[in-house]
Amino acid sequence: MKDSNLQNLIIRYLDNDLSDSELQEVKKLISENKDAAELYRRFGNTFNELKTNAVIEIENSYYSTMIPRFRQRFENQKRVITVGRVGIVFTTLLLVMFYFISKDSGTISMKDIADDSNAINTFLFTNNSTGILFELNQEELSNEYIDEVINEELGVSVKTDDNSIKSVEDSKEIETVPDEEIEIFLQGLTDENLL
Amino acid sequence: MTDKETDFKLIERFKSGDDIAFNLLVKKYQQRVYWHARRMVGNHIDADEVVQEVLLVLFKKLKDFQFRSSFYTYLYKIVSTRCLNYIAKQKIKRLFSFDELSNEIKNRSDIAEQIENNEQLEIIDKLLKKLPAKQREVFVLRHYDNLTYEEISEITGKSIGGLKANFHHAFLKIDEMFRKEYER
Repeated sequence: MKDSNLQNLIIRYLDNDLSDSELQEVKKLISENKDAAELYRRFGNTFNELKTNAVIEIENSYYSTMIPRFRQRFENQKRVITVGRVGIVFTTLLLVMFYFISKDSGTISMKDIADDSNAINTFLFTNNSTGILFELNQEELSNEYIDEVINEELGVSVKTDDNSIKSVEDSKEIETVPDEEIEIFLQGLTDENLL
Repeated sequence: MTDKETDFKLIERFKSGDDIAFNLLVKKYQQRVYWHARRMVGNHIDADEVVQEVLLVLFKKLKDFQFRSSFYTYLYKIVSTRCLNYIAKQKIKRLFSFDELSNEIKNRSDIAEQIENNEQLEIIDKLLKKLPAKQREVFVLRHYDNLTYEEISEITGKSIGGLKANFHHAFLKIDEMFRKEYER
């Protein structure tokens, strides 16, 4: 019998993995063959040494702390997850608020500008209904002033409120409007006797 | 009532919100879980860490238990996976630090001195650690945890033939190491 086959049989014998017929064969081999007997002795020793003292009694105190320590860890983990979730919700809310604030900042009300102590001296506005471009300084920043100018320039009485003017950032969009559209727009104003 | 039935009863109780049932299950299997982890990772501190991870996973997953396999093969599956993951993580850590050294220091100052001071156990830890992790897993499950090859196959997802070959090679390596190191 080849060495590897013999090794395999003896390992399986020690591992209790032989069929009845194989078991008889190995027992016979060990009793009759010197090499088989020697291999069985050696492997048997290794098997026994691996099993002997492989499990030692551990103080019960270790096991009795296992569940309380697990509970503690579980609670800590839960706390971390909760804090993490709150953090995510809070950050999302902040981002949403930031989005709306920056979206709204496109419309500047007279009050916003007047309240801003760092505001530059002059501002450009367009009036939505007339399309007239105004360059106003700090003192001129009032709806009444705009109404007065429109009245003087066009002879039309209008009532300007914060929604009917646009800041210069919005008015820049006019530059991208094709000439034909501006023609049509001006014609419309003429037709309504605004120009 | 068989062991399997008792386990299923406890799981049902846990599923319906009885946490004491979970404690009972843990108490029943804690030694097996500890010793499997211990032989896989090779020291008390790391084994303790793995055991805690296993309990966390078990607590979260047990409510989804489908009663298709026995509880202990289900538990071994968790322990096995956690051990292999832990070993892989430690390997990566060791690449970037002196972790091996710090582990040895940790072990010496371990509260569980009684475990570490057992010479025979130390030899076994050392030998098992030299086997590739997956081969070690098969060897531990078969030789120490006394599972059948069918059960090991269910846990590891490997074929029975492959498992037997793994066990055979692992044993030959250990025998060789025994002879070399201890000149029997």
